[in-house]
Amino acid sequence: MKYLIALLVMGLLTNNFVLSKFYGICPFLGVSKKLNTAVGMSAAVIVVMLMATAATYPINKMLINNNLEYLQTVVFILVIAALVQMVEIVLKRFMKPLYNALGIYLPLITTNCAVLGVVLLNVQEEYNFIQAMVNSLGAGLGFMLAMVLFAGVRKKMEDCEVPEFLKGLPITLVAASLVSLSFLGFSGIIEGMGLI
Amino acid sequence: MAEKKSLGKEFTKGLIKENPVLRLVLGTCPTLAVTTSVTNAIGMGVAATIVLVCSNIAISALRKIIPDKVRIPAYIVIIASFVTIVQMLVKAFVPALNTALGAFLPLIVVNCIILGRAEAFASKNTVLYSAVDGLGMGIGFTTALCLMGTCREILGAGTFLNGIQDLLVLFGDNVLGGWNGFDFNNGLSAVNLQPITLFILPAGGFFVFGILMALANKIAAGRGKPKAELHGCAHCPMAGSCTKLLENGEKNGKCGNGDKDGKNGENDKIGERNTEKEGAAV
Amino acid sequence: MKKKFSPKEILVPTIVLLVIGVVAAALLGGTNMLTKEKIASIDEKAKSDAMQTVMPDAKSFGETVEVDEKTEYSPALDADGNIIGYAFTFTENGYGGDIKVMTGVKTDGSILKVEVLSADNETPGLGQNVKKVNFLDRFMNKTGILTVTKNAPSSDNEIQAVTSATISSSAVTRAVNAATEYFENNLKNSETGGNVNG
Repeated sequence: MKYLIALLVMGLLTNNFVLSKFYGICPFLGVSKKLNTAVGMSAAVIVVMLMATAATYPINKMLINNNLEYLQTVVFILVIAALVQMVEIVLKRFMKPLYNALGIYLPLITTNCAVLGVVLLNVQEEYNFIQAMVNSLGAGLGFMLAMVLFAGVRKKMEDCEVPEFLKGLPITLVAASLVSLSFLGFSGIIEGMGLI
Repeated sequence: MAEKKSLGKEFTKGLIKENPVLRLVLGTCPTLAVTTSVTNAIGMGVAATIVLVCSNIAISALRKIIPDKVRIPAYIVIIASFVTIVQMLVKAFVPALNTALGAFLPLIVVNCIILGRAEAFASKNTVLYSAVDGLGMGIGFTTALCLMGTCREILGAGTFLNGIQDLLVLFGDNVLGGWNGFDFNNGLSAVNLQPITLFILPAGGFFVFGILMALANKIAAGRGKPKAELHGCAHCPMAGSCTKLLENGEKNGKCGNGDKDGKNGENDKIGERNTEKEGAAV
Repeated sequence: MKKKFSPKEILVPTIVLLVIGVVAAALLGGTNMLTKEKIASIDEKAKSDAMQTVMPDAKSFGETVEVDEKTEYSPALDADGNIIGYAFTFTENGYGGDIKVMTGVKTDGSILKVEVLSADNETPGLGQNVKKVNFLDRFMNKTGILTVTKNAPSSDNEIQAVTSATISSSAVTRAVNAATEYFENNLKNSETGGNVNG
């Protein structure tokens, strides 16, 4: 249990998926302009991450049993692509309000390296099913935290006078650097909480 | 499309004018993640270049055979196969690089540069041109990574090309007399640098990337070129579906900056196909 | 968007995808066959190299005993097949993930040498510095339970941490402690001194 909490805290704070592991930078820079889109995108990412983890776990077991580990990357990316497509269809058909909220982000997620990244990490670290799910949840929540925080920062930034040559993407990256720096303050929190 | 194309131009455009990292802003994740040392940057760049050239050739050769409807899953399978092959070769022949790059080696699959080039170039051009385009883009990607890596390694670790033997192992043991890069903070070299650790931390990655981007913009502005912006969507094969949804009155979202190429019409079609495509893949 | 599919429209893409998939799988299988042995031998060699590093005097090693997921050890043997120590592998949680540490423990319970097998998830340039020799040498010839300190060590059982990488350093130290402790509790007295498949 302790280990599971540690996994969650690690994904959320000390090893934030976006700010310290650099997964999913594209949506982090692209979709964080407004708070509501940031929340929508990250909610979609969390859902897909959890589903992808649940779906790839037995598939990975199957691959390993048949000595087909080398097919992992190919199979995982196809599973994620198919999954995203299926979620989209199901949501559209049966849960229209949810689809309206999350639908537009779904197609973007297939090529979001955070999802494939978390699935590959779970395999690499040889987590069992529960650990893998918790790790994915932590990663997804970490993604959301980074997105939401950064959306706030960018809102403030809109009112700032930025030197011409830094306007646009460069200043966004510098701001991301500061947000990432602030997360360094959490280092040691796992030890401090006595989770290791 | 077919006007005034020359092999030389296709090659050089990827280096500077359309540098995938600094101008098109593609493949940002590996750019930030693996550039803590120049050695890693070179390793990542070369691996991605090999995948890019191979997948461009394969996709361009098959472009008349692959039906439009299933082209994205087909591309993904082709790219993922090449990535896995490269990964196995790296594991077997440059094992240290495999550990250094970690999950970012298999993640080349979702590097937008590769799928982006497949969709934007290889699917419409001949094999030779696609190969040259892939090579140019790959070298441009590698150059940008090395630039980032150089800044971060020298400032952040006080070394340059540290651990280069891990890569040179490909050419035999003890190439260059076992030289393993410069070390500026061991007190032995003429220059003595106290490293600023911040630069190899994630925060330093964002910072250096921002500054390099600003420089690239400045140079581009001097030549009357527009600023680099997050083009992610314009080159993203999924762009179609989300732009279309946006136009259909969905919430204000991201892909807004994807439409400036005036390719909306085309994107729309892609979107329609996209929604139907993966059914066949399942 | 809603239109009837003709059989051809469904069949052709399916077949093309199938063919691509089969060709890709065949290519991967081929490469896998070619590289599999090489990769396995690299892993094997890395492990035996590390064992030789932590137990430089050993002529050979006995069979590896797997205690649990995170613990294993191999007895180090001299030319006559007598046990002269053990090479322990322990996995501990570092800053970013698992750190795998191999510790060479002599039969008197003192630490011969320490080697970090993997610390891939630690911060490059900070936590990953625990792999460096000048940190690992601090463990040489120590005995008993070690503690980590940020400053210069004031007593014999203190290990100075790598600058700004206390968490990774203490993970390594915990693994080393686990090794000596395991030795004290389970192996020290059961030592038969005889041949272990020498």
